Amino acid sequence: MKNIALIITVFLVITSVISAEKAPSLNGTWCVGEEGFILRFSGKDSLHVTSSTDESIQAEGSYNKNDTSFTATVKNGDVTMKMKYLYRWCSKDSIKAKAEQFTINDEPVNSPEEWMFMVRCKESAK
Amino acid sequence: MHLERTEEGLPICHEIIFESCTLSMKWIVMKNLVTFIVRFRLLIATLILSGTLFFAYFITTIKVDNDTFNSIPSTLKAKIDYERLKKEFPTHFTILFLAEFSSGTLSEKIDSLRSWNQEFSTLPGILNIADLNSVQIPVKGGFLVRSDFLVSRKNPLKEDQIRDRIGKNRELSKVFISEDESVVGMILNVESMSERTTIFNRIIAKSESINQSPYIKTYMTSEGAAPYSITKLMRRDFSLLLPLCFGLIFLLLYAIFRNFLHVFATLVPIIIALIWTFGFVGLFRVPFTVVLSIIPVIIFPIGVADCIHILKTFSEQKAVCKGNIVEALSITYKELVKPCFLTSLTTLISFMSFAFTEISWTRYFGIFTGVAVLLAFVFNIMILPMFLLLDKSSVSYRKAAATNNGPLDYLWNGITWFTLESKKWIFILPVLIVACIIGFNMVKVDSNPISMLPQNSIIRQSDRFIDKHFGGTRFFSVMLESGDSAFTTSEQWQKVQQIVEFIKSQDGVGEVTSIMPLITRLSTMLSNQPISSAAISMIASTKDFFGKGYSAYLKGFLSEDRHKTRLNVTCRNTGASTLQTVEAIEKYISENFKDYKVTISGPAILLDAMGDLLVNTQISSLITTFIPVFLCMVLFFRSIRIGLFSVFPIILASTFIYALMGLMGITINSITVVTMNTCIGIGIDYSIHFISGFLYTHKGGNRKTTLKTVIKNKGTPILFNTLVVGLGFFVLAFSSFPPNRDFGILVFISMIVSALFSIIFLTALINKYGISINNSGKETV
Repeated sequence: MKNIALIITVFLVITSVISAEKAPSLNGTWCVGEEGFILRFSGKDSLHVTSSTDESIQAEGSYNKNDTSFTATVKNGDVTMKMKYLYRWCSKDSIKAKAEQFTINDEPVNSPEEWMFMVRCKESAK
Repeated sequence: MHLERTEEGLPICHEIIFESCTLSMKWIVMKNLVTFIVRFRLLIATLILSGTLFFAYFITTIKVDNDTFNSIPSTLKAKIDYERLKKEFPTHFTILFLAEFSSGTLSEKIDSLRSWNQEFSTLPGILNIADLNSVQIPVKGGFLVRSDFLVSRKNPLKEDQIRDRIGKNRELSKVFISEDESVVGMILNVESMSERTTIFNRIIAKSESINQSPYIKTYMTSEGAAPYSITKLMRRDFSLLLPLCFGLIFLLLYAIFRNFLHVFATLVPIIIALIWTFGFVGLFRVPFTVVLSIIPVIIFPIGVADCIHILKTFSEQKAVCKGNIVEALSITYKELVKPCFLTSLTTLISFMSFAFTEISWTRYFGIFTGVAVLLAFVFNIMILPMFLLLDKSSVSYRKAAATNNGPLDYLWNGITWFTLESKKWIFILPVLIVACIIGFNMVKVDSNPISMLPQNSIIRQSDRFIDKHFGGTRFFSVMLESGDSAFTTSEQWQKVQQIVEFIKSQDGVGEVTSIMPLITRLSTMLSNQPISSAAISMIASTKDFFGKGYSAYLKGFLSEDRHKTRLNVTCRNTGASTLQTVEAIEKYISENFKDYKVTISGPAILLDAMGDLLVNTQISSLITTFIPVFLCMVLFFRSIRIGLFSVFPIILASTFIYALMGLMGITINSITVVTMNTCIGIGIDYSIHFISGFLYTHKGGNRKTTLKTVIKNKGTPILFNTLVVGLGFFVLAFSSFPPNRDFGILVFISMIVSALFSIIFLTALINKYGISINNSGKETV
């Protein structure tokens, strides 16, 4: 039994190491859902939010991620939103994510329950 | 000293000169005046014509403005507050368009709405259109606010989905769809006021084409709807009633004079006076309103009235003076210039009394009608001789007298018997007093311009419909100022919520529109609370958190610095006083939320303030009419008794007309407020002519005999005068604009009543108490 547990642990570690190694970089421009939001990840932890349908929407922030979760802090004027998402790579150009924890100006709020999809934007969308 | 008279009681022409020193002086002045006019007639005619052309040019520069709000003084607190409010929360000029469906599915209704939306969007001047397609709805757990959530164009929804979404967001969508889904609507934002008329025309044309369908009935309203409709009705009336009035007076004058020259001599001075008057309107850039549009209908009969007296006397004198026109005119002027001047002066005073009112419509009406009356008098005196010099007719006085008085002798004999013999006139007084007390209490003030429109007009129908289904069309705004701390905390918004609830509980309040439904919806989605800090942070964010569409929506309710918020309150037409509601709201806020500063203003309050101004105008104008008119009578006749006697019939007549207004359900509004002064200004003329006639005829002897002669001699011109003036005004009864209709009918009745009361009561009073003035001007009885 101990051996089985050890084997599973080793397998998981190896898998995660492999998957971590294989995980593509987030950097680039991502189109989110059908709302027209565009996330631009750049540098080490920089995040910029815009919208393809409304140029007045602008937000700046930072992010960090591990293999399964992604945390971002976005500031828009006097509102600071902190978001924690579980995410999975669907392919090298698409990710699905589900909100786990949201705060607005440090106040916890209900987070959307549905999975959200984001794909690398085509040139025209940028 | 007595004049030698003909068999018919007329003075012999050349004897007048030597009647007395005073009379000969008057005679010389009048003869000089007539001679001057005759000698310099070409120069005078050229000057008048040049002036007429000059002023005719300025008529072309006149601008129409029937917005009743513009007639409210800019110094009025309610208006200052409203201007401040509009500055803090700038909103475009909007039009609410509604369609009521008697059948059809929700999808079909939305499709119809969408196609109309597309059509209206192409109209020049339309900024944007808000409907179910553009309601700001929080989605995605409250992290997004979408405008196409209810009726998505990109991803068409099933009918049940749409119904479900609308139902869940009823507070936010109820402006655009009724609960039973029978009515859908849209709000059109108009770029500039100048495009308003075009847009209204197009929308009304579209509405009429939609209304061809037996299943759809459309409605529309707007802050500018009433002015638009009033202007439309005014133009129609102006093009129809003015020619009708002119034609009718032309025919009446011809029936009286049987002489085209006399008809033209009567009408030309009035036409010139009107051109000059409206030239002044253009010259001074005074906006042309529906009230000013009735000036011609007033001036035609008034101007004609003096001419009837002058021409009747001239015809008599021409026969007496054996065709010597200058002498006949001199005698006519000697007898009639003073009473005609007095009638014009009293009419001028009655209209000029509006010069002090704060309501610009009424003020300009008073001033320019006064100017027109004065010009009509001057041109009558100056132009009549020019025409009469061409008079080659030889109508003898005997013939004229027989034509005019013969069939009417029965009437004058009847009145003579009624007032002098039977004394039954005494019974009129108590009946009048009772009727007046009842009617007086029924008079109401209504300052709402929409109430002035015809019952079947689309705006009036829409007003009733919207009042029934959407909580009213009149609205005011409550602006709350938070002082030091901005509206960015949940505590602040909880207070606002309490204020909203209080306002909703007030009698006469239909709906309260604010940002509260959005806050509540978002707070519930984010934090399961009615008001949460997180939702408020997002909503009140100074950045475009939810995009520019949302920001534009927010601007209507929250100021840029977030220190002021606006609540829009619609009032039902329940008759509840808006000012009382406002006072209750102010009291509630000042007692419970001392840190808030409140400013309440808006069209509904302006209308109420306008109502107060109308009452003040009515009272002050009556005071400033009666006192100067009385003083004029006293000064001109140099007798307090004559002053009192002459105003007595008109006081009774105007009281009777007021009572009639109450009994007929006619309200005092921006138009009918001028009725009383018109009645007094014209009605007093009958007293003046009757008293002048008595003083001219009575040189001692039996009063009763003189009165009988005066009733016969003055009764006929007074009757003709009443007919011409009354019928001239009665033309307004065919107006498509109800207040003009009411005005015309009331003045018509008042002319008959004033004439009748003047003859009956003056005869009775003079017979009982007597009047005469000696040469020194002191009264002798």
